[in-house]
Amino acid sequence: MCRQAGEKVHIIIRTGIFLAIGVLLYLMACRFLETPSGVDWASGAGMDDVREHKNKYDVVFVGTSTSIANVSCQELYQSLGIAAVCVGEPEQPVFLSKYTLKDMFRTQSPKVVVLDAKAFFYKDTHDVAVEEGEEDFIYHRSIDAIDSVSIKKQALDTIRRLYPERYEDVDLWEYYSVMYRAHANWEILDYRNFHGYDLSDCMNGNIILTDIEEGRINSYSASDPDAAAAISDEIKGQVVEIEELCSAHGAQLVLTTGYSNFTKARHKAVAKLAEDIGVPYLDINEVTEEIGFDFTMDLHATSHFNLNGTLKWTMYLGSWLKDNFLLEDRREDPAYSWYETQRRVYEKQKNAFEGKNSLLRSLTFDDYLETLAGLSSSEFQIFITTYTDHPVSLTKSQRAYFKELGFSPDAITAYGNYAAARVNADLTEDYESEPDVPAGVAGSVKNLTYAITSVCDDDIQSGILLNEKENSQQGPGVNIVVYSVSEKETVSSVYFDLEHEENPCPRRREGYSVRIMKETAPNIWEAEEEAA
Amino acid sequence: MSFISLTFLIFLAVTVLLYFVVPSAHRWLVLLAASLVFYGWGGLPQVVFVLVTSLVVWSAALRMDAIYETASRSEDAREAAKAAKKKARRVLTAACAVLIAALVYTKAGAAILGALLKVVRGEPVTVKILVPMGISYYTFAVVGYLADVYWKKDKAEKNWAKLLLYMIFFPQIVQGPIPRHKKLAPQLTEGHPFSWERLCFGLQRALWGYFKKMVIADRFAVIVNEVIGGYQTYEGVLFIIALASSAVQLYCDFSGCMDIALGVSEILGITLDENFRRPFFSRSAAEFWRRWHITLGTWFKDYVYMPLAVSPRLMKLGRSAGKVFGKRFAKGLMTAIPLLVVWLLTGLWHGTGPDYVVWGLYWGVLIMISTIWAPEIKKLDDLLHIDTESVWWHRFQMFRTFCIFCFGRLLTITPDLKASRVILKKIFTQHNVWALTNGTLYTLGLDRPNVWVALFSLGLLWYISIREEAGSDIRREIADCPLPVRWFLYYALFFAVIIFGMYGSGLSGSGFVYAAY
Repeated sequence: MCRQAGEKVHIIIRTGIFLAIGVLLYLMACRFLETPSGVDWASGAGMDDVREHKNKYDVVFVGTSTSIANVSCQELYQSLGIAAVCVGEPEQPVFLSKYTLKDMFRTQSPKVVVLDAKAFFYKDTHDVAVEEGEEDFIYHRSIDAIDSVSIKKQALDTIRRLYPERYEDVDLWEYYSVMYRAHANWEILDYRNFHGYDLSDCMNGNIILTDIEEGRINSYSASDPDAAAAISDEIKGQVVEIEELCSAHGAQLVLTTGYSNFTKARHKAVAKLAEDIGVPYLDINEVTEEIGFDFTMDLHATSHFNLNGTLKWTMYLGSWLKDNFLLEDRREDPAYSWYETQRRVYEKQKNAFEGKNSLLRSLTFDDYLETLAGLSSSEFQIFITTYTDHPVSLTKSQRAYFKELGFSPDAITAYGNYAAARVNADLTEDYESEPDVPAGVAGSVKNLTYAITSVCDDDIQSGILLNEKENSQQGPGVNIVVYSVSEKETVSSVYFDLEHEENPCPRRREGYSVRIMKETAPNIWEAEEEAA
Repeated sequence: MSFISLTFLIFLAVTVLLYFVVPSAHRWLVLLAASLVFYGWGGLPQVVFVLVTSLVVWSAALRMDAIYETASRSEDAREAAKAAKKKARRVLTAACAVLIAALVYTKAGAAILGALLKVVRGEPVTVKILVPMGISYYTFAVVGYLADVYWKKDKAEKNWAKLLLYMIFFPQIVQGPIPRHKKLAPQLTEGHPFSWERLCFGLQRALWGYFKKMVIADRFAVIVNEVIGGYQTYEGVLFIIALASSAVQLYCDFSGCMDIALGVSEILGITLDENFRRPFFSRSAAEFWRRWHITLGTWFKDYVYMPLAVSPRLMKLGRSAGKVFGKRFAKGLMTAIPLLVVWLLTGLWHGTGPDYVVWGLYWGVLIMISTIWAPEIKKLDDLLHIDTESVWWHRFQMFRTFCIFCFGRLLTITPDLKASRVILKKIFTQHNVWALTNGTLYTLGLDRPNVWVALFSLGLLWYISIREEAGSDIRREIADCPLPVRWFLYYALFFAVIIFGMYGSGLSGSGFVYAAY
């Protein structure tokens, strides 16, 4: 009997160890699978901050991707001392903004909640432009970010009510169990799943967009000011509930339109709603001139701003918030030290973007080289190749800039084929006098492999390969590619054809133009006419 | 409540815990309560339906028993027995008529009523009828039970609650196996002691079932749904891929559910009948149906084929035919008639449309040919100098049987027979073999990683099947492995299911295929 009892104990201990190891493996698997890679945006980052820094934030932004990208909470802190966070999600419908705020209020007592009005014109559940089947992903982003199971359930119940055919059998476990919702991420694992997101990906729930794309002129003047725009009763009801929720927690709701492809009619509809429920409403489209918004340089895509535009809108909005609410300046408060931790990364991002900006604005070879010389050598890697059958000739100032950059102006003017890389301030050059004998430079650093070829041959073209992808324009003359270390992307790719007086080298993407947009169907925008 | 749900896993954990905590004499009550909860999860109306059905069965069985009891006490035993048999047959017929009528009503009633109403109203009408979960399975279970009582192979269950438990025992109610009362009932009421080995083996088996269903079946289902669903746009060899995938899907889905059912029962100390025995190793159609859905086949054999085959009417017909057409013909006729009846009913059991009738007759004719013309087939083999014992011939036969099965699937997985014809034509007239190598395979609903997971999992299943066919007891072999190896295998299988399983948002695993029957 003793032996039997001993065996039983042995089995129980073994089972306990088996289960303990199993639980550990399970938690590890959840941890690695949970962070979805292949997505530009770290869902739930803002809500993670909300839960980590309890009762710290004075301003909370919520809404769609315009709240995430078009406002910078880090800039609000650094420039104005406002402690802010964004808990929005891309394509977030209004009712999910409501439940997100409900969850947020469990750990925060902000003075102001800023709700972007873009989603007011969605269908009840999501943007009409969203293709069938994508709404799962949209809901997931917001519902996954909510911590409270009961609030998740309320959100699910609302989805079921608004979209009964599709979501009748939605399983609550899907929104409660990490493995249940994230297990399929095994297909898209990358280093971020194991190292976590870079701080730059999701600081304070924001994302910084760095493309400078086609401009879109404010269409207020283009559209019929008397045209009707309707906010559905369902959404109006949700906005009212958000206002009541904010009031109940001592916060003031502020409505904003922080994006540019809006219409006067929609502005009126939102303004009316704001008036009806007694909340302030700010619309960037009414102050674009005041804030110096440049539709050729400040836009990322559609309704998103790049950092240029974001900083302008942020400063405007932030100043208005400071003037109208008693917001303490948190810059000297050690309880807000995480902003200081983030400062270095943020400044790097700003510098990288400013470098890109300034390069884009440089239209001549001299301007370009001057700008290049002013950029940080640790932040920007420079790659040069020539594509010409004879050596290029440089002016005195151009030679001086080359020297300042560390390259050899004598080499580039003496040899037809010239390839060079300046990586982490280390310079590598190669040159050949015979046109069909390639000059080449190759190497690798963290996250970047490069291979530069300079040749003038029927079969081989000059090129600049970064991570095995062609990054140069392969144009005649001098081709330059500038790579940002912190952004891990090419911020400039140009060529200068020094043979011709008229320099055709494009400074922006092909087909770049500023367009006036017209809304031809709900939330569907088409170009009306070209503008200079 | 689906087997593929966290709710079921919690339900199972609670049931197992309660079962072994409660005194053994009352453990069957725990099973009954759990089965009622499981059954009632789908709605109370179906509980009422099954309760009424169980009362009909219970009273019919008791009545037959009483008739025989009375007859056995009679002075003229022989006459009394004859009369009792007649009376009991009437009770059996009446009870079976009610049960079969209920089954037919639930399965075909909507279509029949819809057609009738369409005639009356002149426009299509959708009729919804309650279809109690597992009605096809428990109806056969109780019809078999009543037949056994009639034939005195089994005694009537006096305790109605125990009979109800036999009917709706939760692991088997969804998709079988179809039980036999004499074998299962004593196990249900025995009150088994806890066994560590049964718990481990049962969990392993259930986990293996989840792997087959969630990792393999639901993955191949994507290809099937994509290609067959869009059959107008796809061509040639892709349909072959889809049919083969459909065979894999159906097997893994159904046998996976069986593994879960048998594994769960094993934990509770109950042994259910095996329903699959590696059917794709079959070398003939007849052998296939001895390995696939075994309990359905044996049920039809015991309760339809054999009674028909030995029925006086058929024997009389056989004698008459023999006089006119000869002995061989008569023998063939007496085989063919019960076979075709069985297969017609098998087809109807699976579905009421013309496609299922054709499907049933398709198998019936194939088996009939291979049975009746067995001597001629043997002669042909000899004429062609085929070594029927060679390994390659066996492999060819397995492949042939697999093709026969796939063709049979073509009859039932398409929207209608017309679509089946279109697909068949495309298979033989469109030769796009390059689709196998030009990346098209990754555009059929599964991307490259998922295709590889599907193929790897299928390879693993194939390997284990080969080992089992050769006589290995895989679970025993695993149990004999060193502890780190065992644990590694358990964790690997568990994480394979929860990570690669097709469940969750955007990947909703399908319900079990055979639960629809």
